[in-house]
Amino acid sequence: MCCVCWTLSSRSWNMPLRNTFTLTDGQNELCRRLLDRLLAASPELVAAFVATTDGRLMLDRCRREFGGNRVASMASSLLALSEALGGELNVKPSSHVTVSSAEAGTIVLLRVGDARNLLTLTTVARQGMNLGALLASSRRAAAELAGICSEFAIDLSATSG
Amino acid sequence: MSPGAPPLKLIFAGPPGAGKTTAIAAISDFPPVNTDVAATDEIANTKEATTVAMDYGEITLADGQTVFLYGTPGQERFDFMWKILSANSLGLIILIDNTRRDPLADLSIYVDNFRELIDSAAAVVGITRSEQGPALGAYFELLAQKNCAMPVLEVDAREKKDVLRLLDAFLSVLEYAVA
Repeated sequence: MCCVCWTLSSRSWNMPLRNTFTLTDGQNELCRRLLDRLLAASPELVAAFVATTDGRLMLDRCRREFGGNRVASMASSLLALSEALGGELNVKPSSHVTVSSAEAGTIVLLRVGDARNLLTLTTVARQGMNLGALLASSRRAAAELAGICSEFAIDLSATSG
Repeated sequence: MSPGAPPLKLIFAGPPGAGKTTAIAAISDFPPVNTDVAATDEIANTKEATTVAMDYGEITLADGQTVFLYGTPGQERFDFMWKILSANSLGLIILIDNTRRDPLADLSIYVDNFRELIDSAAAVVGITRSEQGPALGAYFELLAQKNCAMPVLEVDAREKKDVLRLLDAFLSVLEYAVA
């Protein structure tokens, strides 16, 4: 049995044109430490992926092998579909999808930070991890990721050229 | 086709920026559902948003037949959506942006990836921004090499009449395919 829940956010695209967006070395290191801490705090949490909202993997930390690039793209599609569905149903603001399976575990997909942020976080937990605990730890991590991005001031226009 | 017949499902595929979202918006009976997000890859140099799951619209033809219009994401990393959206589809419109670096290679990628659907259903090709780039003949040659015959038309994806012409061509091929 599987369930999907969502909440929504509005977004705008008033951003300058730019070349490929990537994390800086500093952002990458801080994100890596954050994901390591996240996994260390919950043995049932088996993987965490940071990706762009358009489905490009930035960083992943996993206890076993996953196709990170594939996960990043699928997370992007699923989040976007959940937002489109919410739009149809006039369900508003923001930011996560939970795919929960009694047999296989739980996946949480979140947008990181506010609508201008270009990152998503996906966490995967084994069967047995409490959904509330997974959601709470994933949200805290997403908030911290948003802070990391903010601290390093992702300037989209500065990545052009 | 008769009124009350089951809706047809038509797929719009092609590389990012070829005009899939625009084409569906041009002919849909209602504002299409889209799943655009800010582009962070090389596409961001030419447009701000990119489709990551699908576009969805509908058009009702003069005979009452409803056609569901699905647009696929362009980037190959979303090829899982290509397979999902192709299920139970009656055919494919491939849009190719003639100003991209190698539009013939683009067509080759989409023909190869959608080959099963092309062979079992109907398909047409629409060339956008055709004021530059390869001539139509080059596309016909490529399709012939792939043993794949389908109409190739120049279209402006923003123009409803152009997209309807493409749809007419598709429906003609479809009628021939099922005859």
